[in-house]
Amino acid sequence: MAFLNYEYQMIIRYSEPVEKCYFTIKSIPADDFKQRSISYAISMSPNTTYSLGRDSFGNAQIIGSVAFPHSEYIYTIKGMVETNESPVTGGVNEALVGMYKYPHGKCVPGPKLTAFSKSIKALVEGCASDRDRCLTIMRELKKVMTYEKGCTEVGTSAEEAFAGGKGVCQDFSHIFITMLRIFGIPARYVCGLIVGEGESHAWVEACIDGSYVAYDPTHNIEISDEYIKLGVGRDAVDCAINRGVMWGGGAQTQEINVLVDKYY
Amino acid sequence: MKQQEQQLLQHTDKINDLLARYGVKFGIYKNNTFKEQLFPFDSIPRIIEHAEFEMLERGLKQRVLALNLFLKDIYSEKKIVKDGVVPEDFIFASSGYMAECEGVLPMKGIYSHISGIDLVKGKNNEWYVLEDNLRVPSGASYPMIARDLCRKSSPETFSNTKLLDNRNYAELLRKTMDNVNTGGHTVILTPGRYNAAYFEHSYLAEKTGAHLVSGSELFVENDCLYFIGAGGVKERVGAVYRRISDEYLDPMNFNPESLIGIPHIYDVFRKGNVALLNAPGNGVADDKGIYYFVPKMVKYYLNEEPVLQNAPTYLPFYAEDMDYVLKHFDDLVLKDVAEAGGYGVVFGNTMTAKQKEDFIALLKAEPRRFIAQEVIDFQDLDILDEGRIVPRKADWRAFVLMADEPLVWASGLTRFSRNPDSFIVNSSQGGGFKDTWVLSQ
Repeated sequence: MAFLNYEYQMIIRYSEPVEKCYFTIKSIPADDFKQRSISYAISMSPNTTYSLGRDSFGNAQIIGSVAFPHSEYIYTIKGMVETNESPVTGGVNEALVGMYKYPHGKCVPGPKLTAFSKSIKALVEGCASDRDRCLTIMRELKKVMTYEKGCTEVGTSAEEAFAGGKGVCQDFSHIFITMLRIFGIPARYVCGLIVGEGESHAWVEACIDGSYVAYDPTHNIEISDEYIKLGVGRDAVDCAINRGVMWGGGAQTQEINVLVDKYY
Repeated sequence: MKQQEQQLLQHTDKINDLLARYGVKFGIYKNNTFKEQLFPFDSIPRIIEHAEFEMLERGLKQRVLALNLFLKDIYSEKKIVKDGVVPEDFIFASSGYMAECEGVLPMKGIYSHISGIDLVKGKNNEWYVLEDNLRVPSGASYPMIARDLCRKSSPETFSNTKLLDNRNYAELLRKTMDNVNTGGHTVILTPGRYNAAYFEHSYLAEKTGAHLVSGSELFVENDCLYFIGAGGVKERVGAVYRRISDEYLDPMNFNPESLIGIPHIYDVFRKGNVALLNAPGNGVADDKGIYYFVPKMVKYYLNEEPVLQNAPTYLPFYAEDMDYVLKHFDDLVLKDVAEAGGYGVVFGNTMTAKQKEDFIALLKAEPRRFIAQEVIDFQDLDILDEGRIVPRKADWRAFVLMADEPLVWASGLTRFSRNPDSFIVNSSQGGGFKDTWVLSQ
């Protein structure tokens, strides 16, 4: 068991003032088998009104707008979460698992991923359990994908990233999800924070025997107590921390600062 | 009857001129350019006998009730899937299923407020449902205005015929919108004047007394929807009859590229602070693959025998249906479940040997993507074509409005194919339309 103190900050700067913007932010950790949110505090600049709600994937969302000109927007959430070491994160709601079984959005196999699935088929099907299957797929993926920043973008699909052979946590997760679904294991994308990483991280939850079990394909491990889950979805788009629409603003730059400290 | 039809015949040109003058048009995109076309009107009405309409009305109400219950079930517990009536492939792999709508219950649990159900009448005098349209079915404005103009051109025809008045559509629609209004104005949301059905949007707004607005005139603030009314005053909106498809409705929840949508409108809906007609996510129930299951839904949810039948349909997804389809390929019409508007429809007997081979390979690779149907030999209706009366294929779109109870409009849109060899009557494929008379006794 561990206590994680976290801070996530997003600073967006515009070259020209934005007249108006709308935002949806999904960054409040929800309680599950593995984590319990003890406290959190949100701040925003410019100061604006917002409301809280929940999306259809179960993520808390902060909804609001800034209806006057501004050239900088800063969002900060600080909080504390208690976590445990088991990779089992929660039970499965039967009615909501179907959406994680089929190709969708960034997780649609093309020829390259289909060929990859065939190449590891015998290995995967030879496994004794679904948890072994997950570990095997993750291990085989790690053999052919290299972690490298700057080769892929936010909008890169699983197939595109796999074809390039390089990518970041988002790409590893999209590819892993696509493979798990090909092998009949429902899988969902997780957006969150981890100890020792200066930005947000992504990993995967697989539905196995009525529970969700979390794997980090970038690091080729089942997740530890150093992970804070912020959101889930079918792919990265469903649980993006920030989604916005704005009028004006010219060029924009985004700075993300993440700090996670662990206490026992 | 014949004599009254004769009177109307003489008015064909006059009515078409008036329709043109009133701007009764629909737009189509061809080779990337937008073109407005007149929707040719044929003055010989389709006549539905009173008893026949009563049967249709019963069947349509039953069907739309079942479809609404299905939508409510799919976006919550999914009992029909759990009970093995509908395989989950047909839900989750359908392009019409929207996970973003899970767990969101629309006002009064109504999903499809305005449904357009397409039927044909076979030569055996039996009616068959061909398609359910539960997203943004269009077409009610055409018979509304045509009837109005026919009455003006030939009032005696209508005083001498005992038919149900259809001039109540706007009233029924208003009632349907008011029934779910959460407090505030009622608006009709149009993608704009370059939309195929812009005439209809403006006409319905005028007739129902709703405001016609585009997305840029609406905005969300503090979990409510507003528009800037006359005098620059901010006014609350309680119901939106939106004529924008789901994916473009809200860039914060659906397609982020949408420029015609309203950021956060779906979040306002989610919180119960505005009604959206029809509810987003309905595409999962009018998918061509789901169509096969509608009679089963009637039994499942209502515990009744379906009054209306589907055209005999086969799902290659099921091995025995695949066998049948391969054996009887030339007798069937094949439809791609992802396509609409008369596209993606092929007749087995019109394919060359090579086309057939390719199609069967595709069918075997993606069996869920297609349905196969017996070709219904549907009745011809007479139309006036360059001075001659000739028979042409025609269908009928019934409009079912859901307020507290379902209501079937005693009218509907009869479309016909102007091509003597075609079964496809869609306006986007160049068809025309007729008035539909429902006899009152």
